[in-house]
Amino acid sequence: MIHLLKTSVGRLRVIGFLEGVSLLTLIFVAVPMKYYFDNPSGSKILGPVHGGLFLLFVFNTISVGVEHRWKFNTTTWKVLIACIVPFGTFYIDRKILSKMKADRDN
Amino acid sequence: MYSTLIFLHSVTRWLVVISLGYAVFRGYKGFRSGSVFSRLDNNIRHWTATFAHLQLMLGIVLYTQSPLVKYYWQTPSGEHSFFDAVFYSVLHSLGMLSAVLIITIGSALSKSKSLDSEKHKTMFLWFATALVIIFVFIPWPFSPLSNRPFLR
Repeated sequence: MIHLLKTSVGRLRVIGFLEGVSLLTLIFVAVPMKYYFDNPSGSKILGPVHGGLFLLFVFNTISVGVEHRWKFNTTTWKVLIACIVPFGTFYIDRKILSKMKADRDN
Repeated sequence: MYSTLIFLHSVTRWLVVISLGYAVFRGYKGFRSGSVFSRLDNNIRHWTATFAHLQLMLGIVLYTQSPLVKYYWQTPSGEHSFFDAVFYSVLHSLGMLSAVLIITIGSALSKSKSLDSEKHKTMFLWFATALVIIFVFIPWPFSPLSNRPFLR
């Protein structure tokens, strides 16, 4: 976990995991709670949290993409789309991010 | 909760402005003098982008909590009685979003360059552009757009 935080790809993987979890909790727990059980407290808290993680993921993807000179047509668009698809960030983590070689510090 | 967020957003503003200003200064000086892009330069580049991202997180959460933003979206267009609602709901948020995007790209581009002079130059140009945008859209006490204290 700590070694992941030392590289930009590693940080993107951690943010992607958190973003994926927040999206799943939002659509499978908080939204049903709001519309079927009339209890909006879950989505009131998770909405902004997910919004923050979503933006953080998008900006870090752009950062890593620019730094590693990803091609938009082959890589960047897949990673960007992943954060609005349930389980998407887990998928691109396995298929793309976990296979990238470690970069320099920061 | 809301007042804490406002306070943090106000304090982090200074971290962003000072680190960004210092990074622009070092980038310019480094490029003009042809000096090496030191480890300190690299850390300043990295932390400037990180502070900007932190500020963006605080901003997006504030956006969902702000009564001004709520008022803006609930009022039909053209009927907004005070400019502050338009400023924070549209101008401040979109302006700062684009500034953070410019910082993000500039920071990553500078990192990906191999020549030290290119690193300095890239950091200077992108960060300076972002600093101008950020300076315009911060609600300084002297701003013609919207006014908030230097620290809340």
